[in-house]
Amino acid sequence: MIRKTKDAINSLSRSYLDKASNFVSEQTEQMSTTLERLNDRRICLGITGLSQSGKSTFVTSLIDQLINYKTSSLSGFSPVLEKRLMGVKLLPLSNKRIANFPYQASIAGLKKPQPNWPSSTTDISGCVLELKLQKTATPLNPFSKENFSLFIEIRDYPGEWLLDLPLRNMDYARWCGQCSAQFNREPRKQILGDLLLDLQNIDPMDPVNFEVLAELQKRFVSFLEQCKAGEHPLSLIQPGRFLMPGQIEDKTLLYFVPLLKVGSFTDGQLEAAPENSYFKVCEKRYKDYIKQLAEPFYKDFFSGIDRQVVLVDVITALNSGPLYLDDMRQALSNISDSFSYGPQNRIMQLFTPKIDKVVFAATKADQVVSADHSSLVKLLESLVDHAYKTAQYEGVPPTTEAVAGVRSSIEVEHEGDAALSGFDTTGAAIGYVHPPIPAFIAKNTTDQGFKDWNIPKFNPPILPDENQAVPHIRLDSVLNSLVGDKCS
Amino acid sequence: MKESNDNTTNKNRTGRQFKVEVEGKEKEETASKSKVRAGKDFKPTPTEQQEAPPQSIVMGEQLPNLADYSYLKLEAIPIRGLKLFAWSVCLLMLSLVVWDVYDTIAAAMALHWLAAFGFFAVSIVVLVVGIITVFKYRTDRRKQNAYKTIRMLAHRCRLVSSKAADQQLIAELKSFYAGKPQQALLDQCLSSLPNYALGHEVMAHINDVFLKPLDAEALKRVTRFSSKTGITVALSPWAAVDMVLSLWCNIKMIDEIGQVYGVRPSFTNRIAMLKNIIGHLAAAGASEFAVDQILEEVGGASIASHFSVRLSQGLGVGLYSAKIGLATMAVSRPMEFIDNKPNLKALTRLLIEQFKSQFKSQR
Ligand SMILES: Nc1nc2c(ncn2[C@@H]2O[C@H](COP(=O)(O)OP(=O)(O)OP(=O)(O)O)[C@@H](O)[C@H]2O)c(=O)[nH]1
Ligand SMILES: [Mg+2]
Repeated sequence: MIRKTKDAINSLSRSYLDKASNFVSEQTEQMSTTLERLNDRRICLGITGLSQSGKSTFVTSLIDQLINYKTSSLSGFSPVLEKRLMGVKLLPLSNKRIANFPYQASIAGLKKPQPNWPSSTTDISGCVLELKLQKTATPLNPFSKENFSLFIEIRDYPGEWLLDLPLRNMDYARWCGQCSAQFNREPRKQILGDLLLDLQNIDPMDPVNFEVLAELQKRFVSFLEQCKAGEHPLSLIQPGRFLMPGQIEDKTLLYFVPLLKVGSFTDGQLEAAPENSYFKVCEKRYKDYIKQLAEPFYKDFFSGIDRQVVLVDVITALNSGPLYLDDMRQALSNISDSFSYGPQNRIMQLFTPKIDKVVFAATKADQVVSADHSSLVKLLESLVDHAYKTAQYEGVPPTTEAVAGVRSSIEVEHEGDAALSGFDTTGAAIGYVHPPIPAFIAKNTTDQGFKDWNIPKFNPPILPDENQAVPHIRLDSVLNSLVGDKCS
Repeated sequence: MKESNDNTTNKNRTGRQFKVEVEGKEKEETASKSKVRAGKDFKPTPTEQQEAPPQSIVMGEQLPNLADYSYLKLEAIPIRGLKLFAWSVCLLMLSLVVWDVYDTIAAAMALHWLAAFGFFAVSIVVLVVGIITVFKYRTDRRKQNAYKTIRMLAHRCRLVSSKAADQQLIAELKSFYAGKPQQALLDQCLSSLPNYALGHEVMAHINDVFLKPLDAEALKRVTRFSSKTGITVALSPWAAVDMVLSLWCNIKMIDEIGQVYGVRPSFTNRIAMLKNIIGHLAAAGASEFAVDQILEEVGGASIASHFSVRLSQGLGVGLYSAKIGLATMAVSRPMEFIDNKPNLKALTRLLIEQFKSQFKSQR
């Protein structure tokens, strides 16, 4: 009897002690992170990119270049140029709830004898890069050999979720209005087919029939899937979790659809709708969706970023035509309202973080010949116009660049034209000549060059040596613009 | 001029770096033949196939092996407290100071040994900081003077073929560009230098691979600034403001061109450069840069008919500024031009064109 009580007390006290020690270690961890940020030694990098824009590949290659900094080509990154980079380590995030970024798996895939691209991301992950750097000589001590560590936090996530950010500032009725406008235009109208009529026919004031709603939601999801997976993928696909749910406990959150008739009611009428009407039910679920999924995602991933790189797959959109370019422009400008730019001092940065450096990068630049990279950048600038101007206005002049995480083609000359040669997804050798990249898209004119010809997809290049970093295009420049100033 | 112009304006692909000379003519033919490439797939022939993995493309580089320096910018490194350490004063001061310090320490010692020690430590720190500042100033000066050495060595290399002279030139170039954005390209240029090259071959290689892209960038800046100066003068109604504006623009241009070739913008460098530019303009004499004559040749009657008095004035100022820009290029380039000396005539044409398009609506 006494033994039992003693055991119970023991185990109880142990569990309390464990909890206390956990708490203490968490707090100290938090403290040291805060201190590092205050000390300008920790940077939170926001990798921003729509679905399939090349985020995971970019991050994987970036880590690979840094880890193999001795042999990789990073001559544009000032610490490497000045030989002050002494070592690089890959660490897990201090936030234990977020899984590790699958760097090993991705890089192994890229360096296999038959390489393959990283698989599409289905959930959040993250990592920290520790750069061991030598201090630059100061006037007081020109012979300084002191080292310090710079921590760079990187997080990866399914690109679909990014488009949940603009929903945070939009109520349900407005979202329905936006959908209604979109769905009545090509190319969405055609993809929707009958679903358009069915959605339009639902009276928001009618009492809800949950079976019908579930059925509609299913068809709506399959519509979103088609938007993304067609030959020409669209960009503005909302809500993101419909396609890539991630880990969700309460699946009913997802059971709502846009009610296209909402626009014909006044706010007062909608307000007075019965509790069990389609409108009220969908609105409640929409609100919960934002509160439980979109908000936490924003808070965990974007509210604290110091530096941002926006990856844009300009080439695919260009390839699909002006409608799709416009769709991408729309999506990018919606997202950009979620970020605040501006120079900020270190202490204020802890409370109201602002982005003080931003790089816009056109990804997969290895799909066009290098002489066209400058046009590609111009095109990118017109696509991210809204965010670009906002940042500039706030005193953060953005940088733009054409990059590729993995350069998978070489340039050759084919019948007098500059051409690219590489391997296609089956591993067979392919080559192509592409029409010149226009520096801007004129309204109302369809770009003939890309209309009846698609840029083929490359496989990653075959690398003979696993210890060598994958070839890239101008990652060094991006890295330098993002963190170069924090390295001295 | 022709070559570098090709690099910047020709939409057509240039060949691999070793083919550039040979292909000069072919390029023009293909340009006229097919204006727009159509997209097409093809099965790579064995020579076109990707045998080895691709190389990385890094910042400041464009294929095929061309440099792209539009991003180039150097930060000014401020050097403080120079005057304090002017040599003669320094010596005088030093003796006085040492004397005083000794006196004070002795006095403090009488008070307490800790006081004496503290004072001693502080004076040591002051001494060390002073020495370091002087040291930094001198290294910077030495680096700027490296310019003269480089130009001299380059001249020698062109005349005599000697491995030792080449090595010396390369070493000087390397130390001059160390830690500057041009370094990556210089390294690449040197690594592609064939090891049998001697004397003028080395020069030609450095000239072609390393300097020509820089020239192109510098020329871009000259064009930009001179047209800007000209247009502002043409637009502004006050003569006094014109003077100040054009002076300011020109100084800024000199700074920016210097940066392309690796001269950091600072007060002393600017003065040194100005001195050289004036010297160069004087030496070149009237014949080479006779603005009026060139205007006559290029524009002639068309200018008089096209432009009002005000506009012609602006054009004239723009041309002078272009002239200064070219002179700046000549003096801040680490070697003399070999075969691609930029000429004022082509620039003039460009300026006139820009003026015409700018003021078309006003006429
Ligand atoms: N040629 C080329 N293709 C690339 C490159 N990077 C990505 N791709 C292609 O783009 C696809 C998507 O890349 P990911 O890195 O998975 O894109 P993501 O942004 O992480 O996509 P999600 O995780 O679905 O949001 C890859 O499967 C490749 O086909 C690149 O550098 N060059
Ligand atoms: Mg991914």
